[in-house]
Parts: sequence; structure tokens; C-alpha cells
Amino acid sequence: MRRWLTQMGIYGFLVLVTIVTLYPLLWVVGLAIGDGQRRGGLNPFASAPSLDGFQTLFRQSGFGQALFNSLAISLAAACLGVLLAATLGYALSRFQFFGKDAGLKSIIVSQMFPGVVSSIPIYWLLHHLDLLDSRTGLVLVYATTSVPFCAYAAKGWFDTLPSDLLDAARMDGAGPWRTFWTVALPLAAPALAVTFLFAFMGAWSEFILAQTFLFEESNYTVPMVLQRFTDPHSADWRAFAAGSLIVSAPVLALFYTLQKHLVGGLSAGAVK
Amino acid sequence: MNAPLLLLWFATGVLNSPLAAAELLAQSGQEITKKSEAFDCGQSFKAEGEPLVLWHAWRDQEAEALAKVVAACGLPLKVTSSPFEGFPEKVSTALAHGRGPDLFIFAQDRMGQWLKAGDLATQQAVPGRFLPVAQEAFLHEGQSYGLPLASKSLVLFVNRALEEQPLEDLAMVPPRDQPLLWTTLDSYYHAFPFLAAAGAAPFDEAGQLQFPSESDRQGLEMLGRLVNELKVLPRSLNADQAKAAFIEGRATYLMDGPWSLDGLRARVQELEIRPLPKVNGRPLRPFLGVDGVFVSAHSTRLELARSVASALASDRSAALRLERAGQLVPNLKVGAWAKAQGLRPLASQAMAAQVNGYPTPTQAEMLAIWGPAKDAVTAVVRQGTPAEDALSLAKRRIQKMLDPLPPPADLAPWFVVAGLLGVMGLIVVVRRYRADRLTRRSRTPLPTLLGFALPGGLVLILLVGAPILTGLGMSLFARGEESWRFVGFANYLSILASDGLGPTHPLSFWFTLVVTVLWTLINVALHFGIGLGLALLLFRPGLKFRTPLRLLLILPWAIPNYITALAWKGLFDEQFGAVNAMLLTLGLDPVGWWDTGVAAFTANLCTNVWLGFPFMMVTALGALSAIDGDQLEAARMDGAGSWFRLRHVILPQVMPAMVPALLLGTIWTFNAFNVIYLVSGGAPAHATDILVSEAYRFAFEGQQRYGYAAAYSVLIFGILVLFAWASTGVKGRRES
Amino acid sequence: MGAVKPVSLALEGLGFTFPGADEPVLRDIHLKMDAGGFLVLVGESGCGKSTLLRLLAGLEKPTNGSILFDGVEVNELEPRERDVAMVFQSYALYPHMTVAENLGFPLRVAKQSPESVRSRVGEVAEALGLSALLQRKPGELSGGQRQRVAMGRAMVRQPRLFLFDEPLSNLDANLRAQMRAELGQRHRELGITTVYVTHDQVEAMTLADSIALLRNGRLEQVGSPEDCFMRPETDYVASFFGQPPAAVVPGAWSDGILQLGQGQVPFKADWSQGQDSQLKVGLRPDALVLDTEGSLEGHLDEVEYTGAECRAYFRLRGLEDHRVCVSIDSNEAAKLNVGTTARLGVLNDRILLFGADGKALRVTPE
Repeated sequence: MRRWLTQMGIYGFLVLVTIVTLYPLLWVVGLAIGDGQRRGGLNPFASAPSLDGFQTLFRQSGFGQALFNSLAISLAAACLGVLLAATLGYALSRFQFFGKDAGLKSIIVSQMFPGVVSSIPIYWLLHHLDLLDSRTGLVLVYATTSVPFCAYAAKGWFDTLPSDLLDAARMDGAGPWRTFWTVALPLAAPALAVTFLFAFMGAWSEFILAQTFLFEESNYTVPMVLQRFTDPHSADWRAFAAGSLIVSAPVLALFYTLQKHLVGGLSAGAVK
Repeated sequence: MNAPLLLLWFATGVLNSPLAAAELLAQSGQEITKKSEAFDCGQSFKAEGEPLVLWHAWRDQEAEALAKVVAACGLPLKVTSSPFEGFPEKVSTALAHGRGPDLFIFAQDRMGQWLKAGDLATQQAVPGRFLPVAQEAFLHEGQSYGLPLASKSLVLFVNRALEEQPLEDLAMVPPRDQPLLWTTLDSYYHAFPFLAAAGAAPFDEAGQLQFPSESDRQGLEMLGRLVNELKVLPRSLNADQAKAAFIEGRATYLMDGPWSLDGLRARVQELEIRPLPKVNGRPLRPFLGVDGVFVSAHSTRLELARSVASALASDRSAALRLERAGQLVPNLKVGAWAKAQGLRPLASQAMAAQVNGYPTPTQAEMLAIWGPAKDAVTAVVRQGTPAEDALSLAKRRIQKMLDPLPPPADLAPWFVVAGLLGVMGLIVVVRRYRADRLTRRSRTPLPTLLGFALPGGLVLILLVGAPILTGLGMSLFARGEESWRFVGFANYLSILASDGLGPTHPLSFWFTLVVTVLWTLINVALHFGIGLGLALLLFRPGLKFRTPLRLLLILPWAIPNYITALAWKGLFDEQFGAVNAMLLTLGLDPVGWWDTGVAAFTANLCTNVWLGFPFMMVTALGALSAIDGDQLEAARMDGAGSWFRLRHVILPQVMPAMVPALLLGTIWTFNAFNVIYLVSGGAPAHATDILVSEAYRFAFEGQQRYGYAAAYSVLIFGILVLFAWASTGVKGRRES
Repeated sequence: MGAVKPVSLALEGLGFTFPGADEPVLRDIHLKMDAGGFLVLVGESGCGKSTLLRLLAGLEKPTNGSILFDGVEVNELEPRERDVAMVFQSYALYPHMTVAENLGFPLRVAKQSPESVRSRVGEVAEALGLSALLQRKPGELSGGQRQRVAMGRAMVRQPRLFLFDEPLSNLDANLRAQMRAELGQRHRELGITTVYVTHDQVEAMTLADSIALLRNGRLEQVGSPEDCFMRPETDYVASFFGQPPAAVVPGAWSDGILQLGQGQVPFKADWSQGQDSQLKVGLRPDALVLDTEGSLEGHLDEVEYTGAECRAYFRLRGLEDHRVCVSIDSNEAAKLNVGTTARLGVLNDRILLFGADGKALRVTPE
């Protein structure tokens, strides 16, 4: 009986926590399909739901283009970031070289410097590489932003790979690249999934750098379009919420595809 | 625009015909045409060469109307609409790098900055075309630098169905419980009409800064009385709340701008727009912002750009923009035409209501006023601080911001020190290299190493390392009028001395540091506690619905946080927020979440804890699943209770995996700029700002003091490095 | 694919120090091995036997000396250039690949055509009885099956040299015996030079042509299993081999008498090393017998029943710090009581004599 009570208590508690967790999100949903009136009280849903918010959103010129841009930029940045991070993390984990320790430390330490004024030198750099106002430039910037964390996570993961496996590949005649591609990388899939997710999310929701570096409307990203609905004086929160739902969809899809790896991928690097 | 609709407007226009229609508009009552097509664009353009580039931050109807203008006048223009946020900075930076547009549209108040940087070309004003006050807004030392397109200022919206007697003078209204004139008072912009009514102006006739003056004090005191004694104005509302009260018929009068017109017109039947009322017999004078078209001095085709700008400000353009977007065009001929036609009657009323507008000053120093003045206003209105004290603090802060640059420091000793440090560093590296035990052969071959590490390493050095070094360097400089000046440690000294404010003042570095540390500690502790606790519950053997529960619980992590942070801000809304609704349900008093530091801090905290616990939970779940089940069995066989198992079997094995997550979490939380910025915005009066949000303020709000912001960044960096070093030191000692 | 040509192996003054370490792991190893031979490396853990294997594999590069394959130095060659194959203790199967992909991996790396990879994989799988398992992942296999896949992956390329790093240590006893037999069989069939690391003496004795015993990075003895057991070159070798190994006790010889503790054993020999020398005496279980008239007296410590035969552990008078083992049959064992004393006789031709420095003394009892 006592055991049963405990069990019920745990379920009750978990359900409560889940409700508290979901509640703010329900407001976003409620706002998006609401009637556009501000609502008080505890019930986030309007009595007469409407899809006007989505209509406004899709009428906003360039939303489709921005959606495409954001997807392209974020995917490219995530792929590039993961690739750079994986190779770098592999080198830091498996290679012997002078400055390895210092390199790893500076990667961690670089995370501690707030990027308040970083956009200024990056702007200069992109300008001189002729990558201002280009999706490529933004891909490069986003990819780099994610590399330190991702390389750190990837290194932790590669550390846990049994060295016998990599030796075996070497014995089987595989060179360093072949070993990396065919053995280390597939085995690091969970960690790569997590780093991919991080890199993607970072790029997907970034506004400030996009606003600074992109000029042409045809290059705009989704956060830039969504930001328009929060302009002072003329905010349209319903359209913003509708946009939020659309923006969240790919990330959620990614999360659920990768969630199997998520649990192991984050920590395994540190456990063993 | 279809005919019946025009007719309808015509009809309502006659009914609503404003009594106070500005005589100004009547002055130009020349020949009146019926259609906007009858107005001309000033000149015609031949399509040759690349079109010029125009940037603007208008959207929806305004942007569409602009496109119509370009088409109607055949302008050789490629029009780009940018988000409003950060737009002037974007223009400045792009112009400075020679990548900016040929023309751009913005309000005149940022003109000073562009003038300082030499970005603006002069333009020919057309005498008699514009409302004089609008044209004058773009004057600088007798030259015109912009042509007015649309004016925006606060006006009085009246719901005539509720009006008992016309509102003349706010100070003459008998004391009451409910506010009479609804508005937000959370910015200098909204308070300015009251200060100006007392005769205040930020700058004197000669263009010298005089804020805060004696008139400001009188005006602010009056404002305080109107709110707290006469209660004709609400104490703490945001613009949305005020607007909602008006729409719902709880308010007769609303002070708001023409940008709200569309939303109000559809929902309030007997809407009328009038000039703002008086206080003590003197009219309230709102800031008059005029969106104008500017020509970049860097344009390679300056003459063409000038004539395009002129066409954008032409009668035809004004008529189109009024007709299509209801813009308040300060064009005399078109204004008179619209009034006579009854076209957009409310827009006509709004134009007429701007009669007392005070053009927002264009001086670059204006940027330094907004923040401190806003803090003074909220202190007086919400906390009842004496106007004198609030303004003297504002004065100090403005002076500090406008301080002449710190004296230049001598570079020579720095070169010597830097040189010495460089040489010493080199020696250390060489000695380390020599002492390195790796023999040449045991090292990974260089081509392989470079193949793997070079792409990532290079990109990191270029896009992470170099900006950090630049930041370090920038922190020793201050940005002057035209160039950067080397000032040594002056930025750091200034930050650490906190403008001479005591350490308990919310604006002091030390106060912010304490807030930041508290913020980080509480957040990380809660992230860790909740994350680990939930992970332990989810990890219990035999738990059903484990996967769906886990999936739902990681949602806060999965959704971009600029969305969820704004959702939380909504939940904490004093009037509409669900949190207060919950408190009411529980029989508690609602809380003004942005009124006190503790409440605002709590709101930020709730948001960030909600955002951050899933990361810890997932990490902990991973670590838990790696624990050897046999060990738990063994512990259970040994008769260990669940607390003992947690303390002595589970935690010791989970912690190693959690340490990196905790370190990362600490760094992220310490620099969680997004949450602070989006949720409390530092309210009240910077009490909930953390170091990094302060740094952003210095860099991007107001004066763009990049050197100062860089010094802030370096301090934050130093604190975090120290923390990491200390914590790994502690860990190391515990392990040994 | 032509017939495999096994390689002959020579190590000359081989030494190895891990980067950053002070002490070498291997020093001055000299060793020769004929083509087609089966060399087993044994030694305590940490003696450097696995490192030696990795040096042969090319996974580590020697610090001193050289490794010769067919008389050609291969010190700096990468594993793939040496044409060797290795079976790891952990098997090191690629967990994300099927059995077929695991087996085919070395061939695919060598850029063989998919058809030839398939046929060769089929051959090897057939030979190892893995044909039914080709589409499984290693995680779905039993320990023995995994071991076979690991073997197959090593065989598939037909290397010149096989290296085994304790390949059977993760199997249970029965399976181990079976796989050991298979391994021996396979070596006899293929005739490929093999170097095999183990800590299991039975494996060493049964499989090896020659055994190399390593101690602290040095070669203690290289020789046939029989040599190592019967003619250990040092007392360490004697105390390493055997079940249980020889007990090494101090002794002294003078005038035809071998002094062991308080016991005096008549030991006539042609003694050239000098009189009254201090000795180390290795006593294997078969060197002592229960004998009421024996020259030694021992205190019975423990009796282990291992089946038909028993091991009785005695502490000799005057040598109470050592335990010596005597093989007895179980009938005799039944008469013994732990805690009592008994007299033991010595079979002179079975005892092993070493000098004070541990080197074997070649003394033939008369």
C-alpha cells in the first residue's frame, strides 16, 4: 500500500511538473490561434480560435524565402560546424602534438569571452573576404560560433572510444582519414547528433548577427522576419506567435529524431 | 482602393470633421485635385544603369505604399526593408564600410550620428512644400540633410461615446480613483509632453545640452502629482495595457501614436483624434518624429540619389502614402487635398493634432539622454522619488556618458610592456617545446595533424580568437569623434569606480556583479537540482510513460529561447499575466513584476530556470544510464536505503559527467544576455541587469562606447577564467 | 591472390620507451624466429609483452634497435605496409558494421573489387563457420562467435604475420580449450608465422613452437616449451612455468651434501662452480616424494584435491617462509592430516639448481 502511494505520488509530481513546463508553451499556441485580443486569466485559449495569425504571417512578403534561407543557412552551418568540430575534436583526442593541452584549454576559455563587441571585427573580416550580405558568410560565422562547444563535446566522446578499435582499423590498413570516416565518425554518431542540434539551434534562432550582416531582403532569415512583428508601436503578437510555432517545428522534429542519442551523447564523453 | 470604400470614408470624414483642423493645412489650399494621380513626382527618370539602393524599416502598409510610389514615379530604386531593431546601427556600420545604401529612410533623431560620421549628403529643401516644422527637423547649420516623408507623434485618442465633457486641462480635473488619460509612462518619450509643457527642452537655442533643467524638474514634479495625487494618469502600465483599456471601453482618453490608429479604428466606434490636452493652461508638447529620406554622402551617383530622394518626398508620393497607408504626410498641398476630399479623415485629424509637436532633437548627444531620463521618469512616477533627486542622478549619468574622452595615454610604456610580455611568452613556449617529452617520432605526422586540426583551428583563430584579441585591444581605446584614442586603463578604472556611485546603487559595477553572481548561483543550483531530481525520478525502474514524459520535459530546450522568453514576459504581465491570475485564484495580491528588483529578478529567474533545467536533466539521464546496475543491486542487497544509495553510490558516479555541464551552465548563465534583455530588460532601473547586459547597453544603446563595452567584456572574461581556475583547482585538490 | 609467403622475424637490440616516460618498457630484445613459426610471448602483466606485439604490428615505433622481416628492417613502416594482421583481446570488432562488413573491411580498404571482397569473405566465413551470421552485428553475437569474426578479419587478407593479443582470455574455460585447439589446427593448415601473447601457460605450452618469457622488459628465456619447463635458464623461469610452478628456496652445497633449511640431502655431483656456494633450488611438485626415510622434514600446510592427484603443500623445516608442493595420489592424501609433519625424499635428477645470481647451474647428479 505504501509502495503504491509512493508510486502515485511520483506520477502526480511528474505530471504536475510537466504541466508547469508546458504551460508557457500553451500560451504561445493559444496566442497563435487566438482572436488577437489580449487575454487575462489562466486559460490561454480563446473561445473562437482563428488562423488569422498564420494568414498575416504568410502574407508578410518574404516569409517563405526567409524560411528557406534559415533552413539552408542553419543546416549548412550545422554540417560545417559539426565537421570542423569533429575533426578538431578527433585531433585533440587522438593525436599527439605539442600544444594539444593548451589548444583544448583555449577552446574552453574562448567560451568565456562575451561576444559583445565581437561583431565589429567579424564585420571587418567578412567585409574584406567579400562575404558581407551573403548566406555563405553567415554560415561561416554560425558554424564557428558552435565549434568550440561541439569540439569539446566531440573530443570527450572520442576519448571514450576503445583505442583497440582505432588500432584495429590501422591494422586493417586504414589511414588516419579512413579510420576517422569509417570507424570513429560512425561510432561518434550520438555525440555528433547532439553537436549538430546545438549548432543548428544556434543558427536557427540568431537575430543580431543576421541583422548586422545581411542587407538584401532575399537573404533574410526567419528571426529577422519574425522580429518585424515585435517592432515597437506596431507589434503583432499573434503573427509572432504563429511564426514561433512554425519556427519551432523543425527544431522539434530534429529533437525528436535525435532524442535517442541526446541522452547518451551529452554525458558519455565525461563518464568513462 | 474601391469606390464604395472611398465613399464611406468620405461620409465618416464629414461626420468627424475635426473642429481643430490645423490652420496650417488650410494655408496651402491652392488648387485641389481629386485623385492622387493628379499629383506629380517632380521629375521623370530614365531607366539606365543599376538601380540605386534604398533601405528602410517600414513594414506592412507603409512598405507597400512605398513600393507603389517607386512604381508610380518610375524610380530607379531597389528597395530593401529591414527589421526596425538595430536598423540605424546597421546603416551606420554599412556606410562606414562603404557597403551602405544610396538612400535610406529613418526618423530624424539619429541624424546627428550620421552627420558626425560624415555619412549624409545635403539635399535641396523645397520651400512651401512641407509643414515648416517637419522640414526644420532636418536642418543642421543651415543645411537640409533630409526630406520629410511622414511624421509621428503622440496624440489624444478620444472615445466620444464615453466622453462627458471635453478634456481641456489635466490639472483641472477633480481628483478621481480611475485614471482619466490612459497611457504608459515608462519612457522619456511618453513623459516628454509633460516636461515640455513646463517649458523644458533637452537642448537650448544654441543647440547646447541643457537637460535636466529647472523646467524639467517642474514638469516632472507635475507629472508625479498627476499620477500619484490627482490620479488622472495611470501609475504603471505598458502601452499595450493602456490601449487594451481604451479598446475595451474602460478608458475615454488614450495618449498614443498614429501607429495605433489602425488597431483602434477597427474596434472603437466613435473615435476622434485631437491634440494632447493642457496642463495648467499650457499645452502638452510631444516629440515629433519625422521619417525622412536621407542621401548617403558615399553614394557614387549623388545627383541621381538626390533627385530620387526628392521624388520620394514629392506630392505624388505623399498622396499615395496617405491614401494607401494612412501615413501622416507633412505635405501641405496633399494634406489640404485629403481634408477636402475627406480622405482618411482620422489621418487628417492626427496630422492636425500634431500641431504642438516638438521635433525630436537631432544632436547625437540625444542618445545619451533617453536611458537616464527614462530611469528618472520611472523613479518619480512609480517609486515616488523626488524629481530633484531623480534628475540629478540622470544628470550625472549623462555627463558621464558624454564625458570628453579620457586623456590619451602614452603608448610607449605599453609597447615596452607588451614587447616584454611577448618575448617572455615566446621564451616560455620555446622552453616548453624543448622540454616536451614527445619525441619527434611519437608525434602525429604533421600533414595528418594539419589535415584534421587546421580547418577548424584556422576558422576558430580567425572568427573566435581574433575577435577576442580585438576585444582585449579595444578595451584600451575610446571611440572619439573620428578616430579611436588610446586611453590605457581609463575604461577599466571608470567601470570599477562605478561613476562614483556607492556599491549599493543599481548602476554600480559592484552591485551588478553581486546580482550577476547571485543570478548565476541560484540558476545553476536550481538547474542542477531540478534536472537531477527529474532524471532520478525518470530513471526509476518500472516507471511507465518514461519516454513521453522525457520528451515533454525537454520542450523548453527545444524551442528557440527568444520565443519562450517573450512568452514568459507575457505570463508575468501585471494585468493580463497568468502568474498574477494564479495568485488571484489563490487569494493573493497580484504583483507588479517589473516594479521591484526582487520581483523582476524572480521573474527572470523563473524564465531561465525553465529554459535551463532540461539540459541538466538530459545530461544527468545520460550519466545515470551509464551506472552499472549491478552496483545498485549490490547496494540494495547490502541494505542501503534509497538516500544512502543516492548519496554514496549514484552521486559519486553521476558527478564526473555533471561537472563539465555545470561549468558550461555557469558560463552560459553568467552571460545569459537574452533572457535579461527580453524578460525584464533590466527593470526596474537596471536593478536586474547582469554584467553582460550592461555591456550590451554600453555598446549598442546610446553612445556606442565600444571601448567601454570591451572593457566590460574583458572583466567578465577575467571573472569567469578566475572562477574556472579556482573550481578546477578545488576539484584537483579534492581528487588528490 | 597468390599463396601466402610467411615471414621470418628477427629482433635486434629492440628497445622501447613510451613518450614522456622515464623507464623503458622494453630493453635490448634479441630474438629470431623462422618463417611459419609460432612464438608465444608470456610474462607477468606489465612485462611489456603486449607492447612488443604492438611494435611488431607497427602500432608503436621502436626507440632503439630494429625489427627485421625476412631480413629487412621495418621499423618505420606503418601497419598496412608490413602486411601483418592482429587479433585483439577485446576483438575490436566494428560495432556499427555487420559481420560481413567487418570481415570485408581490410579488403575494402585495400580497394579490392566488391565481387572479390564478397567471395573472399564467403570463403573465410565458410572456413570459420560464420556463414549464417554474416548479416548480424557484433552486438548480436556470442563471445565465441565474436572471437571467430576477429580471427576471420585477420585471416581474410592472408597476411605474412599473425599477431594475437590474448585472444582467448575473454572466453569461458570450455570454449577456450576448443578455440585453442582450432587455433592450433588453423596455424598448422595456413603455416603463417604467428606471434601470440598470453598469460595462460596451457595455451603457451600447447600452441608454441617457442616461448619467450619477458620480465620487466627483458627477455628472460626463449626456447621450446620443453626447454622452458625442463631447462629453465633462470630461477624466475622456473618459478613462472608449471602448475603450480617450482618453489625456489635458498640452499647451499658442500661436499656432496645439499643443505635445504635444516635438511641435508645427499647430492653427489661433478661440481665445478666451487665449494660451499650459496644456491637457489627449484623444487617442482615432482621433485619431492613422501618418504618416511626422506632427508627433509615438512609441516603439512594444506592439501588441494584436483581429482586423481592431489597437491600437498609443505613448509620445510628451516624454510618456513616457503611452501613447497608435492604431488601425491589421493589414496596417500587421505592418510595425511593437515598440521602434522611428514618426511620427504628428494629426487636428485628432478631438482633445479641456480646460482645466487639466479642463473641455471648445469649440474648433473651422479
